[in-house]
Amino acid sequence: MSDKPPLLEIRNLKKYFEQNSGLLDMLLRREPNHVQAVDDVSLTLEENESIAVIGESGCGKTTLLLTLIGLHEMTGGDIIYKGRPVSEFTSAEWKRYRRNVQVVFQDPFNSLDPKMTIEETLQEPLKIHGIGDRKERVRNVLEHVELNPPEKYLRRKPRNLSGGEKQRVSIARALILEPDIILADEPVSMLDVSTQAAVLRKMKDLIEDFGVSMIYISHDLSTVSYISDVVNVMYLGRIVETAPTDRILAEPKHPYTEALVSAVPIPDPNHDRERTRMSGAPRDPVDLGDGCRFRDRCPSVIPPDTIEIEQEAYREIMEFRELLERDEIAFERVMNTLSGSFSDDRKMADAIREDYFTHELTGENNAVLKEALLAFVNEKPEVATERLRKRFESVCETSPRTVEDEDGWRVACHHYDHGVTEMQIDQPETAQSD
Amino acid sequence: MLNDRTTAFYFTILMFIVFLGIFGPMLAPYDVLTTHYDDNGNIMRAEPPSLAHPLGTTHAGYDVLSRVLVGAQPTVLTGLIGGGMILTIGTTIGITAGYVGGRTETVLMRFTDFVYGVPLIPFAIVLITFMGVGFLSSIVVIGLILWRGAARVIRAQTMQVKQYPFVKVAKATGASTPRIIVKHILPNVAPMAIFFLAMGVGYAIVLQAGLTFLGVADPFVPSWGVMIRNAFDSGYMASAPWWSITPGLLIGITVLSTFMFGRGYEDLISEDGASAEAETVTA
Repeated sequence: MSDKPPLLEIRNLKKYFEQNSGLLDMLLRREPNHVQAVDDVSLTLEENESIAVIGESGCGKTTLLLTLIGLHEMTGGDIIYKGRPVSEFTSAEWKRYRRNVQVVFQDPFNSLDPKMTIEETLQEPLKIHGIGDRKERVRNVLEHVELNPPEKYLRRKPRNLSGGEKQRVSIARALILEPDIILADEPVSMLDVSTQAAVLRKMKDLIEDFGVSMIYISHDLSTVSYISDVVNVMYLGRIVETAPTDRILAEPKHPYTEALVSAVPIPDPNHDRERTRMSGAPRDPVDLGDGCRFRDRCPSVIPPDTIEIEQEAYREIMEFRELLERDEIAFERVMNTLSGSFSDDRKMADAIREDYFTHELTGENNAVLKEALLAFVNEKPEVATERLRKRFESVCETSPRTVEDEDGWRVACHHYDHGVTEMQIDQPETAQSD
Repeated sequence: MLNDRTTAFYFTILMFIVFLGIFGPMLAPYDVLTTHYDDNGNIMRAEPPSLAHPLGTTHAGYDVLSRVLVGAQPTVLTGLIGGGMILTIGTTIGITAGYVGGRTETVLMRFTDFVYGVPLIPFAIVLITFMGVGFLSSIVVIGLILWRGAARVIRAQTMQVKQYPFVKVAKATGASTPRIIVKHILPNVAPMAIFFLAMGVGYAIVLQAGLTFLGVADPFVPSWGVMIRNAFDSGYMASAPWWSITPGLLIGITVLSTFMFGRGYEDLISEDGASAEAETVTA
């Protein structure tokens, strides 16, 4: 490590939103729900580095970006820009930060003010920061993003540009202040594929020419591999894996990354490969509590050492437990499939089992599940929850530490946390207590 | 902008009415308070149109044409002041509430709701008893109440524009709130604001006529509204239709053309091609 602080360091950044509580909640003084959009995210961006944050929609990547540019207030943690924490910024420092950190949004169609000409749009940032030579700079930057000749574009309005041209103007607007950092939120996802390639190539060249660092946010692994050196995989507000791009694509470690990588299409009809099965959708990020956030969808969730169980069967139990704890078992629906009365507990338990389970269980496992289901139909869900927890509790129900497995490769998964040899980076449990 | 034929047509009518407002008194063939007599020395009471009096006479023997021409001025003034007040107050409150949000928004919008609850005519009557019956005060009262619709709609528009990425980019680049309002919000809600100006002009004229008709505005300023009221009061409304129909039609035409012009203008500036607007851009 050199003495120079990294360009941008994000330390245990948190952004929670309070869910709108109604009048009744206010009168009863209920605690509002917290949406944990960004939870304990740590990243480091060095100079001239391009890193990516990927994850599916709703994982909090856009919230992360909006928090980084100061449009959301942080709930916890801090952002350190060139050694100075953002939380202690004076207004002069904010101005400097806003000049040096620029953003390119996803939607080129609404990123430009429809009432302004391209020239006005590009001059705005210069005017805000009182920079002269505006005409010259605007011309230059337009040439850089390959909108040639600039005269042709200066007086146009966004409605007279194509999507690709608009996004080039957005990039030009971000570059015109010669920033240190560009935050790009899926900048090409709304363009068509041929334009995507051209714009991406241009972006890559520009960040190299201008010596800009970039945080590139996307859900699309194929564009990420083109533009970024390091990939951070985000799931429900947390970074689950960080690794150099080429290596993460070749041998993903975290089960979620594995699923993402195996979902990248390969344009070869004869190519056959094993896909990682990932069912369902992410949970709502509301009051998530402790534990690995991917555990309910994880294909390789870890059973306790003490029991012997097939992986698939164990997954079913974990999914069922999750539903049970969230009180989302479709009891009525299952009962409707039963003809006759509701009197026979055993029948009802069997019906639920048939609906939610496909795998056979044996011995003690089977007995515990039976007991739990009976407790459930007897309207004692707490008993059922407790029974199942006692028998099937997984190590995945505690938050995994982020461990540095190899050089520059960090994973937050119990599969890789062997506790002895690896360096410990941070411990989410302790950070969570505030 | 005036390439569009319909808009150009309504614009011409509006210009004609403004022209009447400025030069009407000079064009009037007679003084508005001159009583005309026929050959026998009798007052020409509610005479039908003739060569000497193309629009007929009133029951007091006044020339209707002269009164219409002179009455254009207060009518145009009513439209401009009333519409202007509605636009200014409505846009200011709407944009402030929509952009700033939070407690400011709550206070401003609850106040708007309160004004919505005020019945217009009774309130105008009450307010005028305090401010005194007068031509100007009757317009001010209209402006003080009718901004409410504009405020609500412009707040909604502002909230919509505020959500666009270009506003977020401007904020992230360090633009101050006033700068964002002037540079981004205002131009983008302008079409709606202009529409409300047109509506406001129309409303103000009609309402002022209504107030005069009820007798709570100055009856001695001979606006078109006042003419209709006089015709009604005299009892000659039915037997001398030329007296009330002309000012009535003129009010209708003014309101219609302001309204249509506003709509046309809104369409034109929201589709603004490079051609028409590029020349006006300061380099």
